[in-house]
Amino acid sequence: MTPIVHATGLSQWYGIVMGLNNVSFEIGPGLVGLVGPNGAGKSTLIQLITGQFRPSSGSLRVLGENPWNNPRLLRRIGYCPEGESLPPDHQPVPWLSGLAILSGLPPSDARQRAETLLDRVRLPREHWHKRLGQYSKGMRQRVKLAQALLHQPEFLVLDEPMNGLDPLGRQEIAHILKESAAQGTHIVVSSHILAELEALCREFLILHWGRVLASGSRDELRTDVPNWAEQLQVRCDQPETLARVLFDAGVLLGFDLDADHETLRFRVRDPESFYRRWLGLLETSRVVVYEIRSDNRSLRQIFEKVTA
Amino acid sequence: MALRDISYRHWQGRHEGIWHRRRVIVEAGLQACLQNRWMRYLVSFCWLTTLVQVSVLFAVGQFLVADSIIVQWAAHLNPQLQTFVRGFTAWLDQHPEISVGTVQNLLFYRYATLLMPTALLTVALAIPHLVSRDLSSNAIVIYASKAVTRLDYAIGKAGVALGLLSLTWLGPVATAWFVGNLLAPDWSFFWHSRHALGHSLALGIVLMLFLTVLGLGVSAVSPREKATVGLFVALWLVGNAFVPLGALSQPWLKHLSFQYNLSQAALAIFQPDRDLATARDQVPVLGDMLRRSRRRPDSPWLERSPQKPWPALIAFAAVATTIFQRRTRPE
Repeated sequence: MTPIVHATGLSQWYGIVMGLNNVSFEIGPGLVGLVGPNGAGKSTLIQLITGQFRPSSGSLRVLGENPWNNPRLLRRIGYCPEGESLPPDHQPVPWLSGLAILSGLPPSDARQRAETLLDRVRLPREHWHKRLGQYSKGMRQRVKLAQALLHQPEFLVLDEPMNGLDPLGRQEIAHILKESAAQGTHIVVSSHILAELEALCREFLILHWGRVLASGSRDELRTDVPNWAEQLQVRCDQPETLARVLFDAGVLLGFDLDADHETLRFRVRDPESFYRRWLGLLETSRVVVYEIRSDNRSLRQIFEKVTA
Repeated sequence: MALRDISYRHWQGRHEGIWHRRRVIVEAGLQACLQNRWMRYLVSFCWLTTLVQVSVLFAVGQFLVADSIIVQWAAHLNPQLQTFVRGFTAWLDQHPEISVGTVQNLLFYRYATLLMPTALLTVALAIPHLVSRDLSSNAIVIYASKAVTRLDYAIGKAGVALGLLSLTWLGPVATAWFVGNLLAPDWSFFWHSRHALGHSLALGIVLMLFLTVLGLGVSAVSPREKATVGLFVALWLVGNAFVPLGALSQPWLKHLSFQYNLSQAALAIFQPDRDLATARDQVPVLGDMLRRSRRRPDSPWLERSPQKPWPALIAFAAVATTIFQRRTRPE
C-alpha cells in the first residue's frame, strides 16, 4: 500500500520551542484522524504536509513529492486551516472563483466550481451576496471547506473542520467528508472532539508533545498498548453469579459489583482469549443479560492509555 | 484494507499558467483598491491634471506657430511686443532642441514632481489591501496553500501597487506627453521631446518600484490597517520634517525623507538645472532675464544634494523587503 504521507526523522522547531520532534510515520490512504491535545503538534504536522513550513530536519514526502514550495503538489492538495482565515470584505463566489484560478482552473470553469461547491457544503444561496465578514462561524466554516474542495484535490487536509458548527452542521460536514473519501479522496482530519473523529475515521495518528505515539486502526492501537486491560460493563439479573463464574475461570483482573443497578464492571487480563471464551462463560453462568458495554474501546480511552 | 487507486485525478479540464494566476492576484487587489471611493477620486484627479498638462503643452506649441491665436493675441497687446514675439518665435522655430526639448523636459520635470505626492497618497490608500488585510483575516494561509509560491504572491501584490501607480502617475504622465505632442503643430515634436519622455519613464521606474517595495513592506508590518497606514504617513511626514533640519545642520538628515530622495532622483534624472543653464546661455532676451534673476533655490527640495539619493532609497527598499519577507513567511 503506497503511503500518502511518509515522514522520516521529521522535526520542526520554532526557535527553542519544539513543534515536532524527530518523528517517523506513514499515513495511508482513506480517512485518517489526527489525535492529540493542544500543543501536541497536529497543526505543525498539517502545515508541514501542506507545504506551509520547511521542516527543520528530516524528510517528508506527500503523494511522493516534497511539499515545501511545490505548487505542482499543492494543486493536488486541499487545505482547510484551523483558525479564521476568510477575508471579511469579499463575497464567497468571487473569492472562491479567484482561489480556483489560483489552483490553475480556467476562469470559465472557476465560477461554476465555486457555485457547485457552495451548494455542496450547503451554504444557502440567499447568503451568497453577503460579505464573508457578515457570516456566522458555521457559515464561514462551510466556505473554508468549500475552498479546500474547490479544485477536486486528491488529498484533503482539514484542521479542526467541525469547529463552530452545530450538531446538524457537523453531521453534514462528516457526510461530505465520507462522500469525498468514498470517491477516492484521501483525507487527514484533526479534531479535539474524539467522538466525532471516531465516527469519521478508521485510522488514527496519535500525537503528544511533538511525538507520534501510535498509529493505526482502533484495534491496532489497542493491541499496541502494553498491559491493555479490556473493561466491560454487564447489566444482568445476577451480577454476583456472573462475577463468580468469571473469577473461577481466571480471566479477571478486577471487578466492581453494583448490585443495586444489577451491574458488574470488570477488567479482563487477555481480551483475545477472553472473547473466545466469553459466550461459553455466559452460558455457564445462566444469567439473563440486559446490556453489555465496552467503554474503554472508545478512542478517548485508547488516547488516554496511549498518552498516559 | 483494500488497496485504493491513488493515481492523480485532479481537475480534468485545461490548466492555466502561473502568469495567469499571478494576474488574478493583481486583478483582485486592484478591484479591492478601486472600491475605495477616495482612490477613485485620486485617480480622477490625476487624469484631470493630464488635461492641464496637455493644455500647457498645446499652448507652448502654439508659440512656435506665427499665425497662432496665442501669438496674435500677444502681438495685439502692444505693437512693440509684436516685433519681439515674431523674432522670438522665429528663433524658437530654428532651435527646436531648446524650444521643444528643453521646455518639455522642464515641464515634465515639474509635472512628474507635482504628481509625486499623489503617488504617495495612492500607496497610502492601497496599503491596507496589499498585505495587511491578508494578515488580519489570516487568508494568507489559504493563499499559501494554493498552487502559488510566496514569490508569486509577492509578484501579484507588487502588481497591485504597480497597477495603481500606473493609474495615478505613469499613465497620466505618458498620456500627457503623447496627447500634448499629438496636438503640437509639427510631428517633429515627438522626436524633439524624446528626452522628456525618457526621463519621465526613468523616474517612473525608480518611483514606482521604490514605492511598491516600500508599500509592501509597510503593509506587512502589522495586520492592523490603521497601524500600517499610520506608519506610512508617519514615515512620510516625519521624514519630510528632517529635510529643513538637514539644511540647517547635518545634510545626511535630509535623506531620512524618502520623498526628498525621490525628489533628488527626479533632479538627477531630469537635470532641470542643465536646461535652465541652456536657456540662460542661448535663449535671446529670456536668457538675459534669467541671468539677472539668477539665485540659489530657496527650498532644499529644489537644490541638488552633494550626496546621491540612491543609497538611501536602496536602504529603505532593503528594510521594506526584509519586513515583507519575514511577515509573509508562514509561522
